[in-house]
Amino acid sequence: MAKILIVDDEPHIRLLLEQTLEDLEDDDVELLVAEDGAEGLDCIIDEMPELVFLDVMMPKMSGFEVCHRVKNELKLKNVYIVLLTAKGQEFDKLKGQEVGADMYMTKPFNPDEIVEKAQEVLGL
Amino acid sequence: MNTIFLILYTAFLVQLFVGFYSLWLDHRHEANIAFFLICLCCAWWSFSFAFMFTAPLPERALFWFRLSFAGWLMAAGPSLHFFLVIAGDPWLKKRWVYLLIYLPGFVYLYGALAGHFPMELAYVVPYGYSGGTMISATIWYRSFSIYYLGYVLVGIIKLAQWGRKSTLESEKKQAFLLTWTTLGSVVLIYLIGTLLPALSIVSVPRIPPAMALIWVLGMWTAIRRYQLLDLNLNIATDEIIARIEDMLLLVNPAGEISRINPSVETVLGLKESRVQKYPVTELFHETDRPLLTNLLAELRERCRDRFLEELNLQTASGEPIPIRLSAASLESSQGDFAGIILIGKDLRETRLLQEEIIERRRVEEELHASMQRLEELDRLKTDFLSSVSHELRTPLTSILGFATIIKKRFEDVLLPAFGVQEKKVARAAKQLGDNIEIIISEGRRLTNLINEVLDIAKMEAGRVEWKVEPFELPDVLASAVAVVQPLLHQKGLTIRTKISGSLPVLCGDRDRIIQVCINILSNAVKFTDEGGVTVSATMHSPGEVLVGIADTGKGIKPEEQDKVFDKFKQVGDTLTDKPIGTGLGLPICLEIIKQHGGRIWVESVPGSGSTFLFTLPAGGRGKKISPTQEGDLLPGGLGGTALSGLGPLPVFNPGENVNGISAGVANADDAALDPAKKYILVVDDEVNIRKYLRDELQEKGYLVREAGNGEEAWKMIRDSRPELIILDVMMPVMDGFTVLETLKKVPETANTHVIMLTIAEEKVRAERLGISGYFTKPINIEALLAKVDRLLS
Repeated sequence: MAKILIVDDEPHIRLLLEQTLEDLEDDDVELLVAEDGAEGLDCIIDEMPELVFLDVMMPKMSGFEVCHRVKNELKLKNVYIVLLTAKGQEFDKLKGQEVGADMYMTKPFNPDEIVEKAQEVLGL
Repeated sequence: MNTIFLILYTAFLVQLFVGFYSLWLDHRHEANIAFFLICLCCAWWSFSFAFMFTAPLPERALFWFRLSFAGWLMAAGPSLHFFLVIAGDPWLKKRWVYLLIYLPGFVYLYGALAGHFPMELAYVVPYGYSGGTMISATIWYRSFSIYYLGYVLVGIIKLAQWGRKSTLESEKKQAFLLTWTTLGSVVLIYLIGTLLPALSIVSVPRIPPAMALIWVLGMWTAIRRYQLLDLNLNIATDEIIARIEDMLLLVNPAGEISRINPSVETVLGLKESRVQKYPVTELFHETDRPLLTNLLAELRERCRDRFLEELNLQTASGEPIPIRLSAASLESSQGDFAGIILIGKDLRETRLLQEEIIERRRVEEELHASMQRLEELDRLKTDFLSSVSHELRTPLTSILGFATIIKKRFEDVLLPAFGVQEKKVARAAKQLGDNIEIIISEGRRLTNLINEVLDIAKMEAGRVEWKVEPFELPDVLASAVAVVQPLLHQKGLTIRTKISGSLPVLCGDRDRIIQVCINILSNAVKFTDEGGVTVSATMHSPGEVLVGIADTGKGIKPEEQDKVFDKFKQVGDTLTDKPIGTGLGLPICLEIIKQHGGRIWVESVPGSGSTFLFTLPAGGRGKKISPTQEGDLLPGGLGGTALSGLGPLPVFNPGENVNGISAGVANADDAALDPAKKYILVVDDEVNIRKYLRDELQEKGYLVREAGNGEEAWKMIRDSRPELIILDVMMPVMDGFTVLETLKKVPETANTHVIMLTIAEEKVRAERLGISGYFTKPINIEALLAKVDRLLS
């Protein structure tokens, strides 16, 4: 059973992502949710999701750091990480590449793109 | 021996003594030699005069008369010489002038001694001698008088001129003394020797040569007192003291003023004579007196030999005058304390300057501080914008996202469930759909606005990285024109391009330049209702390419032409015809062109149209742009900038043909599109790849059309909307990214699936633009077909 983790401190964005991706539950995909970076990292280590939608600006631990831990320290290559940012700054994008994110999306994102991405990564 | 003889004889002795004494003092100086000669002549004259009147025989008297005559006349030459030397006259530089000065003297000497003098003169002279008698008696005397007066007058005039021009007080005094003693003695000699005896009213003593004594002594004084011949240290010191700009005070050992210079007199408004023997401390301000007294005492007691202090003088009215006072003790030749010399420098002007400098520094510091504040503010502004952008995007994400989900759920799930037979329900359902659509499109507009605000803020802050590469201007213009083609078509406008054949390859951020062109073009379309748009590109000057985009729209009033480049300024009557847009399009254009080292401006005639012009340096990049390896496009950076500012979005009419499509690619089933089949557009400049993909896809049951470059592709996308596009990146005219970006900015085509044939390095960029998938060449056809199937299922 494939797992998708949603990490965002904004409840509405979490809800949006959940609702966007809930159709995939028919395809036997489990949606996991974390409310901050630290919780997200724990969840990644425990559950090993195939796909993570990771917000950048979060309390406790930023998305960059989570990504860095996962990709550069834990070397979890099978976790596909999509960084979500609202800043739209060049700096963020470069930083995203540095910490090893697989993809980078700027808010507001198109829900359809999220679904497509998920389908692609999970091979649905 | 009578009195007259004694007077004349004394005059003779004095004149002789003065002459020889002067020569003894300095026998080398030219003026001194001349003076000696004058004295000699006068002495000669006096001597002969003395014996002329006491001669026992008429023959003797005549002899002395001849001699006196010679003595007098010979004084004229040396006197002119003397005056010319004193006046430093340039005449003396010429040798022949000396001849002119001295020759007549000798001629007259000969005339006096050997010339004809009637014997009766010998009888007349001693008793009734007068100039008048002489003049009537002999031609020698007549010509001699003219010569004598002429020479003396020329000398006096020269001297007076010199005295007037001189800036030295001593020279002025000299000239004055010499002029008046000379004139005085000449007048007296004339009076006593000629005028009064001729009138025969008053009996005058026969002593004219004694009058010459005045002249000789006057000259003597002038020489000795004012030291014409040598530098007299006293005079020089006086001169220096009088001229020194600083204040100078000499204080005697008792602490009393013995001398002050005119500067002190001027500054304190008093006379030297009034303060002599005054305690010097009296001149200083009350508060400084104790200190000065101590300092002076130290000098007097030889504790130190000098000091430098800033003190205040005091004027008669009590006003303090700041000075820098340097003092030194003076020693006598025996080494005793001889007094103090005080030199004061007036600091009033310096103080003013200092105050001015302090004031300027303060202003400078303020300026610096405010500049720093401004820089800080600028940084805060950028940070603020970035934060605001973040804070705005987050809720926008929810709004847009949920609106999209609602729309989808509503259309896919709810609408089929409750059916739309009932009129009211149908209407409400339609309204609901429309309303959600409005929320989505307004949300997108807001997103664009945020992007543009951020874009321009970053450009202004110089934080944009520019992708510098060579590009062909015609390509850029074609790409931009292709983007606005649908809008032109929709409004029924024509477009003409006039591109000069010999444009150089330019260097800069190609995508940004396209952005500028699209922006101006879409503005042109927006404000033009009939007619058309003309795009031109020419060499403006050897170093500049000029691009002009002219429309036949309503134009811009002259007073508003400058404002169009201002942020958030939309020109025109805002109530009636406010165009939809952010008001940031042209300011962004301005920034981009400025960064490229070009200029942008508008020429417009209200009612007949506007022309937006910009230049780009032909030599390459603008100086401000630094090349970066990786290109970057901000979300909404291209196309969206322009299109977001447009009115109703273009409606696509599938199947409708547009003029000027170069159908260089065969599309076999162009005639009839089977609505049942899914329609795929393959875009690649390689015929073989197109054919290969086409064959493979057709076998899968898809309808396939081909385009050979980006521009063709865009026209086909617009005319007959494909459901999926397989897009190559590297293509002539318009590359894959441009097609993709354009596509994604237009809502009608934004959702079209795009699979890109690209290289890994460009994957991130492609993904950010929202592609559905990417493949690298050589193509793994199985995976591609699988992907297509999944996307279109």
